[in-house]
Amino acid sequence: MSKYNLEARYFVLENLRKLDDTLLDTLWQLFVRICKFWQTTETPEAMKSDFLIFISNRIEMDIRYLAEYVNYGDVIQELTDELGEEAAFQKLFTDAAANITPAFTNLARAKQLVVNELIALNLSLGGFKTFGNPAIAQGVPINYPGYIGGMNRRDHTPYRKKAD
Amino acid sequence: MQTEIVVIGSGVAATALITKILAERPNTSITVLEAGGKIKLRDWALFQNYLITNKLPFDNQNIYDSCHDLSYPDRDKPGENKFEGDTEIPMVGARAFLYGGSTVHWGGWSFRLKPEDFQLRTSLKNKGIAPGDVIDWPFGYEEMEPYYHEAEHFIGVSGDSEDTTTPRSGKYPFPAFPFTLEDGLFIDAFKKFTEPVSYSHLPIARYGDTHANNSHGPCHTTGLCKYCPFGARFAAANNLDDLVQSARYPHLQILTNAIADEILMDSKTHATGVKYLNQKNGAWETIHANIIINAAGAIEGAKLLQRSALDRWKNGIGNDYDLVGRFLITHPYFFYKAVLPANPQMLQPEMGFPTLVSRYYDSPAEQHKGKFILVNPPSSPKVNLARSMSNGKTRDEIIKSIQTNTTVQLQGLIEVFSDRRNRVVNSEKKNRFGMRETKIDFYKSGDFDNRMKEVEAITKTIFGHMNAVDPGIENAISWRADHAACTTRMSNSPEEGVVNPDLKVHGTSNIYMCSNAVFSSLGAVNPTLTLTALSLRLGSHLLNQLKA
Ligand SMILES: Cc1cc2nc3c(=O)[nH]c(=O)nc-3n(C[C@H](O)[C@H](O)[C@H](O)COP(=O)(O)OP(=O)(O)OC[C@H]3O[C@@H](n4cnc5c(N)ncnc54)[C@H](O)[C@@H]3O)c2cc1C
Ligand code: SF4
Repeated sequence: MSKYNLEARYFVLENLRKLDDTLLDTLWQLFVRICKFWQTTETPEAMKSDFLIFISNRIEMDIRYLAEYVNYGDVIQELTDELGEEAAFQKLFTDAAANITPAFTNLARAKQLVVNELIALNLSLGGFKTFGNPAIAQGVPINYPGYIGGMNRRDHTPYRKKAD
Repeated sequence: MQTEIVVIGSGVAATALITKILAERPNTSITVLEAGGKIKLRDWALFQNYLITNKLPFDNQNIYDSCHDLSYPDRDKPGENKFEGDTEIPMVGARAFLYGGSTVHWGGWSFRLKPEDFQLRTSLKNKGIAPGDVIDWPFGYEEMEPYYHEAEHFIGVSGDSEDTTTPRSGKYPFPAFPFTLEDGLFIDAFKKFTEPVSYSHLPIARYGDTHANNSHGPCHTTGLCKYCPFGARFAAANNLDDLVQSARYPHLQILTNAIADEILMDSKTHATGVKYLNQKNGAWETIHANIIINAAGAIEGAKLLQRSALDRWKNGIGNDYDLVGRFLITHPYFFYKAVLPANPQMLQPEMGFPTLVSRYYDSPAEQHKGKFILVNPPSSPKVNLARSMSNGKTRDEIIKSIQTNTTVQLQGLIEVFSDRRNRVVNSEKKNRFGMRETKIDFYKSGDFDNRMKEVEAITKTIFGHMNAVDPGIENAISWRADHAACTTRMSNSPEEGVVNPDLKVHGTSNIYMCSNAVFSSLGAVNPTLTLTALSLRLGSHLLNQLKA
């Protein structure tokens, strides 16, 4: 069968798909910061390959994400130069101005199309598990609708069960 | 074009039927006409997009915005379809026009009807109530039981095999999902009634069918999975792919964007084929077949009969008694809520689908009033973690907001009865898919509001037993057409219904209906398992015929 008859993948030129390593690392640092700020996991490295697939899928689905990621890189650089690293992330995560709609500032675009999406990804990869007070949840993961909760094997139910 | 069997529609009804026939007769030539197009499933990038944006691949304003009705016309927006009568039956989101049909976005709740559901008329009469337009099914539960079993294995239901709610001859293919910690609240409340309210695990089509001859993976997780990236959750489109891609079935073909407009006949009883609009080239085409299966759903299926062979049947095929499209039933879906003043355990719904159901009121004692079921729903939790984090709330603030209090909810489906006035018909206008729009007349029965008051009182008692306060209605009753049924109902005689017990249209020799349209009555629970069982039963019937 000729190739043009095959089910289409996303149309993206191979060279455009490649984020440069520095930018990719900047995005990964953001993901790690999310884990720390909300204490969702102590081992973000375990999520790294999922993170990388996510970034590449976003760009494959919509090439404009490349521009969003570049914008994020510029924004965090500027914030860090101005406020220092700690305060830069604090502002990015908590400043209400970053959530204005429509997102017409560079800060708002960075927050809404990059930071907020990585927050959702973080939860979906199991970040929700440690959310909440483990003493109250008795160390059992708290699942959360909309997010993948781990393998549903008989010996491991990824939500809190009613005791029999 | 010539084929042995033409199937109109490619939903679960069509898929179960085709699978059954091909398993025994792999060389049967079958052509499926599907009005909609195909959307991509089992795609991780799309799933991630859904996870982040909450937009399904076929949702509004998405590149796949191609398979839903628009809402009814209002002042500012163009819409589709019309409703009359006193009760609006919304169609938007209530079905999907696409390869694989509506199970691409269903919930997967997979109940059997109960034995008494097959005898609604008899039951009303025994209670001294005038049965009105209500009829019995032409056969009973025992006839359906083996097909229910087969259907549960076909769509991969996980359920509790020890559950005595309905008699069963074999086990579910997969074990039930355990009750959640939050379910415990409801279970404790049910136990506080003088006569404890019974409950069970909600049977749900979630696990991929690993032992059958298909490529479904096992269900990995317990996320919200209206869209399953693994193809684990039953969606007929995945099963169709398996059939189409298999080399065993060389004479199966599925034509997408092919809208069946009329069933053609060479006598009053015998159909010869189907005229359809090929949307891909805009041409009218005809396919000839020995057997015609109308699996276009309860609304479109009835409309297709109404507009067919008008030179031989004045009001459409099988419609000499003006019954095609009448007796429309759907399930009113109700929503109640109350507030637990404190929530130290941080109870929140932890899964995207329910695990607890009570069929206590889906019982002979309630049958004459309209049976109902109660479900601890897969509702949105009070605190949305992602939103809270995105809004800049800190971890401590979020935890505090979860612990303060929480909303508990009870949802359910309630049975309503046949009413001759309720019906669907074609309108002259065409919608954006090129299909004739629908006009619906629907009247709720005079005693419905009183019945809902009784239901509300029961839910209030349940909330009271859990010490929840401020009970009230969460949403107005939803009359959505998701479970539209009974529009060509099954009956022993053409004076009472449109198809015979073999699902063949009365007065024809080779036209079959295969959708929720053939239900004689709907019961209190979701219809699709029963529909699948009926399709498999039709498959057995046709195989016998083909052998003869
Ligand atoms: C949101 C939602 C949630 C649901 N959840 C549940 C649940 O949890 N449990 C349950 O039991 N049921 C549920 N249902 C109902 C369930 O989806 C239906 O009962 C089931 O899918 C019906 O299957 P079907 O094959 O008869 O029809 P469909 O799946 O609707 O398939 C009919 C097909 O026919 C095609 N068609 C229509 N007209 C024509 C024509 N003229 N020419 C060619 N093709 C045509 C359509 O495009 C469609 O693809 C739900 C429904 C909705 C909408
Ligand atoms: S929970 Fe199971 S059915 Fe749902 S998305 Fe995950 S694998 Fe698919």
